[in-house]
Amino acid sequence: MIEINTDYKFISPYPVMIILSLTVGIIVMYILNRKDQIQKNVSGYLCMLAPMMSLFFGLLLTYITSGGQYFGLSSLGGLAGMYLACLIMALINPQKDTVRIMMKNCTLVLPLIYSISKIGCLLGGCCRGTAYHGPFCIHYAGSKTDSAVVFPVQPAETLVFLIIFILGIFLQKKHQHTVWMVFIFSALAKFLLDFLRESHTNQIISFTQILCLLLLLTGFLILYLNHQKLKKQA
Amino acid sequence: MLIYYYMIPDCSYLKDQNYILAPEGTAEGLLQQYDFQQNENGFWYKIPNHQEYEIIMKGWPNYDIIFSFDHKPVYKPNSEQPVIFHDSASKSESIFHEHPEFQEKPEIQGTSTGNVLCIIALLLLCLSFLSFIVSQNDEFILPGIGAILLSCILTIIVRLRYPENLFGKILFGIHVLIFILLILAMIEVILECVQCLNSC
Repeated sequence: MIEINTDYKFISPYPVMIILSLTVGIIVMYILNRKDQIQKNVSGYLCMLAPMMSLFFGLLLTYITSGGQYFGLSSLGGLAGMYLACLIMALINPQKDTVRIMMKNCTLVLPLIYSISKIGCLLGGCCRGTAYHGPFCIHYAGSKTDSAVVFPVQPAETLVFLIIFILGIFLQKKHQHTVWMVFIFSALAKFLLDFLRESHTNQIISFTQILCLLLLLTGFLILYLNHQKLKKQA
Repeated sequence: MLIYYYMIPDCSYLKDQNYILAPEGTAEGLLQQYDFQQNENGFWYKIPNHQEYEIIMKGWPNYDIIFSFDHKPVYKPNSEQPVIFHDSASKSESIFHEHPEFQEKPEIQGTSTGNVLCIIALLLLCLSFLSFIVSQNDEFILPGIGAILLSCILTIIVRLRYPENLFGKILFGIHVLIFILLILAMIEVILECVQCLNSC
């Protein structure tokens, strides 16, 4: 059993991990963009725009889904913000292949950002798993969270998405459909792991899972269209 | 049309692909220094940035263009007889010095457009600050942040499309300052929350 007391003496690790996840993700995305010959100033401006848009849309989605009741950070909103930032930068600087390259690198980096941010959720006590007393269960205690023994869904998400990121980075040059596979597997992993969350209790399917299904369908459709296009060219 | 791309003279320009094509025989080290890439056929090419593209289009197709670090790009009518040089590195500089009538300062097009975009960006910034002040129950927080984002996007457009625009440079500096202040404000809020909890 892992014991986590959420009464932190100094700084809550949640915002620290969110900032760290965005910082690491943006740096990796900058390196990938520069390696793919995206200009230095364009890559730099994207580093400034992407975290702001990610945070804004993360807040916006939670605000909308809560009916204007509270603010929170939604990972799917953050994903939308990152993609929109890449799209906007590619539209401002319409050089050949910029859109494809920026979106590709954003897709590769998103699992890493999500993986690190889940460590913040683990330590902060949010997005936790269903009641569970088996191996590797987590016991939360502290004045900010109810005492509970739950499934370690956040470490599971961290591990799964880190593996997806590492595989994506190593396989992207060898297989032409790697980026779309990263997109599909990320959506699938989030869909499946959502069943193990406390927030999913008494629900057949959550709003997050519906969005993940839409992303899955989009990923499969584009993969199929790409495959057909390559078959015609061959 | 020929392009004298800094220390690489006699480059040609392929309009359909938007490539500056280096002549055969140019030293690879020099080409790599200027971010040229080699394609599968062995040709070295570079995609011009937005500013370079605008300069090239201004001279297309009747002028050769000389890019230099020391002066603004020079436009030379390409009906002129070519001058023979022994040292290719000094070719572009020699053309500049021997033909002072070609020292045309190209207009930086779109200056007024850049200024208009900057004014809109500045108005959006002011609107966002107003929304933060007026907001009593956080109802204008998201629109305020959205306005800052839009302002930032417009400023980036100006910095990329009109990099010489001074208004854009100043506005970009203001945005970087806001970005840093936002991060400091976030840290301040976190620390205050911790102090409140500790004092309870």
